[in-house]
Amino acid sequence: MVNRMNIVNFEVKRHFKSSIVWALICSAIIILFMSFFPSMRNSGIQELVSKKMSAFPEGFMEAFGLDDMVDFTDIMQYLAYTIQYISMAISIYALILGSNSLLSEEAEGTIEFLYAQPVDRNKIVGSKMLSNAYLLFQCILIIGAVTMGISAIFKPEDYDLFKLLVDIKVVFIGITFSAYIYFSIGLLLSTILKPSQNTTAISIGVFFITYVIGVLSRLKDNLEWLKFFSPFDYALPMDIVRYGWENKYIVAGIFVMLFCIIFTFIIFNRKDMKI
Amino acid sequence: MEFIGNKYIKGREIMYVIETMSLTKNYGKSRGIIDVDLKVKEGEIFGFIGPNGAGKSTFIRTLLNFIYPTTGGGYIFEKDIVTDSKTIKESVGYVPGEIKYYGQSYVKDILEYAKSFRKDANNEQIIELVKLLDIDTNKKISELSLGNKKKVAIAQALLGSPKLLILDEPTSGLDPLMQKILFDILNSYRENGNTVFLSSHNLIEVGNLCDRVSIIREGKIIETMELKSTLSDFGRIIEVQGDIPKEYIEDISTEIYSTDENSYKFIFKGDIDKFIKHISQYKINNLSIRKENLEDTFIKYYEGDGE
Repeated sequence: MVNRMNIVNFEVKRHFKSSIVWALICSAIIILFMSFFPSMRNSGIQELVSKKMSAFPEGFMEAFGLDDMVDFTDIMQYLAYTIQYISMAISIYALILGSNSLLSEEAEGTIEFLYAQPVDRNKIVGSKMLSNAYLLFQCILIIGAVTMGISAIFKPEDYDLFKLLVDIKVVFIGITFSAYIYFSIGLLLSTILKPSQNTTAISIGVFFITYVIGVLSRLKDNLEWLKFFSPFDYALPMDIVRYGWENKYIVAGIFVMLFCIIFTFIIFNRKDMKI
Repeated sequence: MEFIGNKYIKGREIMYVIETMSLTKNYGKSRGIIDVDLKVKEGEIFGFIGPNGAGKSTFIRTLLNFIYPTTGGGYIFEKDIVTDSKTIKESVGYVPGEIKYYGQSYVKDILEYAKSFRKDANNEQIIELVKLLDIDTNKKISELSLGNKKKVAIAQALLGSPKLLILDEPTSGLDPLMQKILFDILNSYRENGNTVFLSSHNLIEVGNLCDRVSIIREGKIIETMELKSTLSDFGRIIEVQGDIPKEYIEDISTEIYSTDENSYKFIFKGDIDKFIKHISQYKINNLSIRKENLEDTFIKYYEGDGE
């Protein structure tokens, strides 16, 4: 009996542990950050930080998303600021997942087993996409759940728990959106790169190139268009907390995802497997 | 009477399980295979021999659609190797030359995974193959020796009882006992009407096992010959020293390897009884007769005088 989800199940089982490890490390960092929040709120650090930060040039502050001074006594602003680094880690993980999904089969030679089975190339791409998308979602879901839990523990007594959880949910939807854009870019990379190339290093490089472009886009108003080349900035946690979603970046994100996915199928169907 | 297109031999319908027409694959400027025309009949064990880099693996990978032909094409079970690859693979088991399976997966998981692709595969078949090939299913692939990896590859290829087996260097890494078991499996597989296509460096294994063989050199098929029809293709290599006229040797030999002061080495494909009776009238100092084997033919082609 042919199992239609066999590749998906096998891939999820194979990479389950690494997804959990990424989730646990990111969760641990969030727990660490959030455990500082009560002391941050009560010891007048906000005043100190504001004083020191105001000494930095305006461009520097804008580049790092600190132009409107972060209120570290507000749990959502504190969380949104600190979680930006977790969002970076998730985006890098998404890129690595995507870029390894097809290319690792060629690099490790396992494609010779997989493609000798009665399976077409579309099913390989579709299954790999689905399994890795699930692993990414699982990772984000764990981090999101831990964030909600730890935030509920450290929230100020007067802060509405329901509102806090809804706000965290919105931030994580944004993180998920960016992550899946990077994931789809990774998928496309996995059809273009050569098996001999170091995909993890290239994935990290691609992320930081887009990140730097995002930083540049915030330096001057006339460079804002550069933000389209930085999916990380499409749904920055701090921006979502403060200003909500921007439709143009939602459209851009969906376009990038569709473009990458369609070309992943097209290129993988046409390419010679390198074994 | 043999029709290539309609596939009739002496009134009996036969099917070419593999049929390629001018199949060519170039890797940019470097050569892969050139104009390969090959026909493998149903129910035969077909050998494909050639040295490293001759194009054996390229040919197999093109058949299995790992790579696309540059020009030409081919059919397996009368289905196009490019457009019908998935359907073809429902009836094909493949053993790669170098086994690179998922290193961190257990053997039992790999066999289960292979089973999940095959309509006719079942647990009983896995148990039977594991027992026959003496496979430890509780080990990780990365913990296995080359030979044991090969056994896993053979087992997964046989799952679902495919009608065609394609094997790339199937005996490399296998001990003699396991080689014998593999040969027994392949022979009984053929007796059940199935077809085997195997590439190999091991000329003895090809000579003992195959019905027909093709020799590939620098991407081109240079010879396809029957093996099981014994001496119709292979002659005898005769080395004789005596007062035999050179003209006689030139007249009866298919090919002369060397002549040196009444000493001759040549290939003879005629009636050996007549030959011996004829030369008995001369003074003979030395005589050696042995069957020409696949190795002689192979070396002859690869030393460049077989074209």
